[in-house]
Formats: sequence, structure tokens, C-alpha cells
Amino acid sequence: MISKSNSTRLLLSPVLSLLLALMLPPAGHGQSRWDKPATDLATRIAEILGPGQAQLTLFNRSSIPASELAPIRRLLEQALRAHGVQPAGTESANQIRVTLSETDHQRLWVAEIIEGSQTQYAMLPFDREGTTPTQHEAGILLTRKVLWTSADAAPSPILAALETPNGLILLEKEAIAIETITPTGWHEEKRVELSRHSIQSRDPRGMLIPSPDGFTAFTANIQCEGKLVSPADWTLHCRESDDPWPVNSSILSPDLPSDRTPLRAFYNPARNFFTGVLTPSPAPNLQADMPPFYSIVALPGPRLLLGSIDGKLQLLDGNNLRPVSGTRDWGSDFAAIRSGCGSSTQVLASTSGEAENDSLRAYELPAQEAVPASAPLEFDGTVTALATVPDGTSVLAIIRKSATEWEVDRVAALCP
Amino acid sequence: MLPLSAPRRFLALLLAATLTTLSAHARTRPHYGGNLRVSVESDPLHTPDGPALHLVLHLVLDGLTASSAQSGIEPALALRWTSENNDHRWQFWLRPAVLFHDGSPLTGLAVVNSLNQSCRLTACSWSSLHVVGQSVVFTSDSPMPNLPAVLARPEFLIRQAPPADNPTASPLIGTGPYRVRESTPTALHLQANDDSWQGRPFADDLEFSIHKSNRDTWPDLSQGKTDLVEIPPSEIRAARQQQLRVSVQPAVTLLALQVNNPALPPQLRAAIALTVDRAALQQVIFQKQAEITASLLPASLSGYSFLFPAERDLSRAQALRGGLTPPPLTLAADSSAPMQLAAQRLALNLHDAGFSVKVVPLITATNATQRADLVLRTLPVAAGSPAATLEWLLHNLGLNTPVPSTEPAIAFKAEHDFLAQHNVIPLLFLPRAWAVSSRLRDLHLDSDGLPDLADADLANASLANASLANASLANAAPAPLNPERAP
Repeated sequence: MISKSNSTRLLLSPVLSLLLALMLPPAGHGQSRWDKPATDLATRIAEILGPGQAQLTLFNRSSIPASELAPIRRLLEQALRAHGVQPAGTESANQIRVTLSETDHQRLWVAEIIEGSQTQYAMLPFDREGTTPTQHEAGILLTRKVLWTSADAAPSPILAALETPNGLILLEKEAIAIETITPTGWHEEKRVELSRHSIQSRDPRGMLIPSPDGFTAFTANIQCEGKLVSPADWTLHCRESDDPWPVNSSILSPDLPSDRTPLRAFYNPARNFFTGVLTPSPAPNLQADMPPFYSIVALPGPRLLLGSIDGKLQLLDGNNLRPVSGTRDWGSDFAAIRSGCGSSTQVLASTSGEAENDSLRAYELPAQEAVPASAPLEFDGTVTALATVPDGTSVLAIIRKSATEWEVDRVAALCP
Repeated sequence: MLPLSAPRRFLALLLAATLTTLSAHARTRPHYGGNLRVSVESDPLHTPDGPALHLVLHLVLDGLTASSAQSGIEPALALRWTSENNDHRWQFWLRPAVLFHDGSPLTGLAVVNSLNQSCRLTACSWSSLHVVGQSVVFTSDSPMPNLPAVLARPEFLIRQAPPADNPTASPLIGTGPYRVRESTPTALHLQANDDSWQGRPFADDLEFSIHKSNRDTWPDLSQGKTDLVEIPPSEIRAARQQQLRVSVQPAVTLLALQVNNPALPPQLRAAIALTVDRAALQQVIFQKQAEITASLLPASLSGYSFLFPAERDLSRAQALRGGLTPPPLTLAADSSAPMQLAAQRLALNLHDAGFSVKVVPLITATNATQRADLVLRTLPVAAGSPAATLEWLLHNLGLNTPVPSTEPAIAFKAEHDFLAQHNVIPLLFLPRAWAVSSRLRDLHLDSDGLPDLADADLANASLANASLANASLANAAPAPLNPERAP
């Protein structure tokens, strides 16, 4: 039978918490991630039971590994003792049955406090702890560094990112955010909502290109110029635009003359791909039309690698558009990286398929065949966009970890 | 700005990492175009409460809010909302520039008219609703702590009434990603809405073909004649054995026994609750595809369902019954084979404890509630916070009581107190499952187990679609420039 005790008894008393915090060992080295929930639950139990003896039993209905149970039990016993509740054997009339449970979204620790025929309950919900990603090694070693992770607020999807000396520019579905890194973490310096009069695609995309005094952002029907007018003072001018997006970098194509007009591609704002129309035309004598494509990168040669919307990878070499083999596992997103390893430049491609988590892998393209040059680098989420950084030595990857959790990673390649 | 009251702060906490329903749109990016075919057993537009109807409603209509497994309640036709006066007054601001399928704009008046029509068909928690500028205001004498979650329910999706003087007009006019193109006795055709505020869906057309038995259409999946077939829980195992590609959302529906006879003494109700053999139902009728429960909320939502014991205890049931001679009871269940089999098995269970039970057909929920002593019911388990889901379940069980807190202990107490009366005996959580063709990609099930067809796409959708799209792009005039400076 449930107690009719006032529910406020289940709530943590600030005074008790403070006292308990003073009695427990200081936080820092050796502190486990279970310290706080164990302390908080013990506080709630003690508020119901009061000082005395009780038999403590622990059950696990959660994904917490069995190896963690003994430390959790020790923490609970320690915290209960601090409140005057002495764990006892079966001779005790009082029982505390603690069950480590969880929902799809959070952990829930439940204490059934049994005093004679009366059972009362204390419950402690708290966030799940983070997980540690793993990394694989073989051939060229791909490494990644997490640059930015969304906070617990619900941001709109991140379409593109660009590193600045002090932080990151983030192009979101509905805004541009300028984030700076501070000693205490990320700080949003400026946010500008994109005033949009047209309907977006369900698979929105965007691009951030560095400029001498800032950056240019491209997304469907909108182009923005960002300028750093003084330290920490950005101006942003946005306009509706259907101008083509720049799609190559001469850094990755040293064969291209530096004064050559950047290659631009027209994007279809109502869909999620480029139309196939490039300006200036990279192959004026090409017999067939360039197909609509999702991604394009410039490679030494100069060659252009494009992933058309029918899933085929094609290499434009001179005036010849040729299929590339060995790309069956490729997804729609790829970017070039100048690693200095092997042929100096590789292509990083996301995986195809419908697994929950994505990976990136480096490939060499010695001819018309993609040859794996690294082991897959696993991500704790889905790679939704890739962009080569201005110096070509790494790639920024946008990772969608959940519907509302996004991450920006820098991926680099180490030679074997 | 979104409101930041306690329930929504809790929902924000629910935004933790899971990777299920919303499509990520990476890897191979989704393709536009193609005709997606769905086989259903009931007429989507004319079968009340059928899954096909709910599926079509979510494609054609939008709510002021929407629910998702990841983020709880999200803005939909309402961009933001606030509550005042201890949740007695709510104001929802409408998304601008949204058009109904007939070209008319979404206005506060249209929303009020639609919701007033909804309130004629189902009980509404608000007592008044009116337009204030580009917003609508709900007020009530009782607090409505979970109103944003309630407004995401299918019953409260916003629709435009078809014009009375046009009998050929679509019977369902909404703002959703698809519009009704044609409805016949054997098929329903939906067409992509290019003006959808959420963006155009990927497939051009959806075709719902109505069959007497979906099982007959299983071979069509491999033959490329259909893309999606609903699989009843009792047939999930068989579908998998036939190597069908099955997508399952667990714990979507609660199967419960409702005790309607007010003359039945409390100890007999308790004896019935102890007599039901949930394990047999789960293993035999539902082929181990259901989840045993004695609670209203699944463990995945509450985390405390283990506190409600689900084991059969015949000796205790007989002890509770004592010398009482129970009257003959009737048990109503719908005519589907699994429900009839489940009812027969429950009748056998109760016979073991000295109850005499006769299974009768369920005519309609209302009539059967009046006639039968016991009713085998299925109740949708909505996603979102435990409190909002519990409130909605209690509402469907006839108890209109706000569950005001997101604190699990308080939701537990509300559930415990309700179930202690033994008017409702939870039995199983049933999944919802769909068999999917190999060409259908990026299919994700919403929290209610319905496929999100607007975000699904078809592999090898014709390149001609891309050419057409490019052609329309080339013809489009550039929009006027509208420079703005950052604040």
C-alpha cells in the first residue's frame, strides 16, 4: 500500500543536501559518476525512514553493467550512514529495496522503503551519462576531435561549420550562430535568424566559405556575408539569392591556376542536390550534360569527383566523365583531404546503408577505382555534412547524434 | 520563445540521445519522386480509429503541436505557446504563411472552427477557445498542464471544413505534406504538397489500396507491387519467418481489461486482476511479440512499471473471493481473431477462479461499455512525458484528472491509486509493425508506431523527377533581395 505521506517529502531538502555534502569526501580525484545520484537517493530515503537500521538490497533493471553495482552499493551505504541510516542484516524490521531502472531517456533509481506492512517510495530521475567513442586503426589513421557539441536546448539542424581563430561559425537550418570558445566553454556571441520566404527542403543543406574578412554562407535561397569589423564584433548581411555555390578549392587542386575563377554549382533549393549546371563549365566539350549531384570535390589532376543522385560516382577528367568503381559502400557525402600520406590527397567518404551510426573512411583514387586507405572511423551518430577546411589538411564533419543533439568534429589523417 | 515551465523543462531533458524515428538524411541522401504504395485492411477515410485512418490523418493534417519520441512535444502549426494562471489559460501563436490544401490561409478562426468541431466528437479539456490576433487562447476552470501534448493527438489535428456547395471537394483538407487527390471504395490516392510548410515530401504520390487481408499482400512486397504492409502483432513472428523486412515500434498500444460492472465488489475485482494469465496471452496469442504489464505506462516511459506485479496468483485470488459467489459475467471483445482468442483465454483464466464468463461481440465501444461486465480494450500509448501519457490514458478510461507533475513519484502515485480500484487491469503492451519493401528507404516509425512516409523515399526514384525539378527551378524567377543587418 502506498503511503499518503506528502509528496514534498520525496523532494530533496537543500539543507540536508548541504549537510551531506559537507560530510562526504570532497569531489575531485576518485569521484565516480554515481556519487551524486547515490547521495541524492540516500537523502530521499533518509527523509522518509529517518535514523535507524534497515536492510539494503540492490536490484538492477538498467543497462548499468554488473561491475558497477558494488561501487554503487558502497556509495549508497556511505550516504545512508551519513544520514544516520545504518545498513543492517535480515534481522532488521526495515527494508530498503533499491532498483536501478531507466526509461528510454533517463535513468530512474527507485527505493521501496518497507516499514512493517507499510511501503513508501522514493524515486530519483537523472540524465544518462555520456559514452566514450572508440577508434579504429589501419593504414592511414583517421583521427577526430570533437570541436563543439550542442547544449541540452533543442537547436535546429546544423548544416555547416567553419572554424575561426576564436571558435566556430555554425550555419543552422534557420539561423547563423557565431560561437566563441572561452575558458568556461562555448559562448554564443551572435545569432541571426534567417528570414526566409520560401519553403525549405526536408533535407536542408548549406555551405560556409571563408572570405578575406569573414565568411560567406550559402543555403537554399539565402546568401549571407559575415564580416569581422573589430575583435568580437561581427556584422551579417543576408539576402535572398539563387546564385551558384562555390564547390571547389584551389588548395586541393594545385594544378589549377590561382587566378582561375572558382567553380560554382547551381543548387536546387526545393530539393537536396545540385542541378548539374556548373559555372564556368569545367568541360566545355563534354558530350553529355553533367548529371544532378549531391557532392563534388576537386582533386589533383585537375579532376572533379562527383556523386550523382542516382548513386553513381563519376570522375570528370578533361572532357571525359567516367564511372568510378569501388564506391559501393559510399554514401552521398564526401570531401577531400590533403594528408601528405600516400598520393598526398585522399577522399573521405561516409558510409551508405541504414546502420544507426556512420563511419568515415579515406580512399585513394589512383585511376577510376576507389581504394580504401584507412580503417573506418566510427561516429556516435550520423554524418550529415562534410567540408574540407581552408588549408585542406582536415575535414569538418557535422554529426547528428539525435534529433536534437549535434556535434562538430575535425577529422584529420595521420600517415602510417 | 518557447515556454519554460516545469513540464517543458522536463521535456527538454527528454531530448537525450536516441537515434530512431527522425530521419537523419545522411549516407545516401533521400531521393525525390516515385509512387509509394501501401496496403491497408480498412478504408482509411471511413473506418473510425483504424490505423490506416491515423496514418492518413498524420499525412494530410497537422496539429498545433506534434509529438516525437525524441523531443516530446514540438511546435507544428503553433510556433510557440505560453501558459498562465497555473495552466488555466494557454495561448498558442500560429505559424505564419501556412496554407491549407485548398489555398486558403491558416488563421486563428480556422483553428477555432476545427477544434470546436473536434470537441463535438470527443471531450475537450478547455471550456472556451477564442482568437487573439495571430494566436488562439484556451481557457478552463481546471488546470490543463498537458495541453500541448493533448493538442498533438489525432483527434485535434487541424482541418478545413470542405465547402458545403461542392460535393466533389476533398473530404480531408489540411496543411500536411500530402493532399487527398482521389478516394474510391478500393483505393485512396494522396499527392505531394509542394507548399508544405515542413518542405515537400520525397515521394510524389502515395497510394493506399484496401485489401480484406493484408497477409494476402505479403508476396506483393517481394514482387514490387506494394511497399508497405501493416503486420498485426500476432503475425510479426510469421512475417519474420517469411524473411519479410519488418520494422517494429514496441509498446504502442495497451491491451487492458476494463471492469464495467459497478455492482462487482472490490474483492472480486481484485480477484479478477490476480486471475488473469498475462504470460499465456503473450506467448500463445501474441507469439511473444508483446510486453507483459500490470501498469498503464510502459517501462520505457516510466521506469517504474516493475512496481506493479504482473504474476498470476490463483490461490490469493480464490482467497479474496472467499465465500462470495460471483454473478455470471459477460466479456466483450472486438471481432478480430487475436482479440477473440485473447477474450476466450481470459474467460478460461477466470473460470479457474470460480467466475463464469461468456464472451460476447463488441458492437461499439459505447454500447459494449453499457452492456458487458468486462471489456477487452486497446488504448493508444502516446509518447511524451509520463504525466501527459498517463493523463491521456486516464482520460480514455473515463477519468478526467490532470496529472500535473513530471516527477516520477507523483505520476506513480496517480497510476497506483487508479489501478488499486481494479476498474482497469492492464495486460500487455502491443507493438505496431510494418513490412517494408526493399526499395523503401529511410522509413522511421513515429512514437505511435505509424510510419513517417513524408520523410521516406524510394530507391531509384526516376531521374526524370530530377530533370523536372531542375526545369521548374530554371523557370523560377529570383526572389527580391532583402538585405538585413545583424542586431
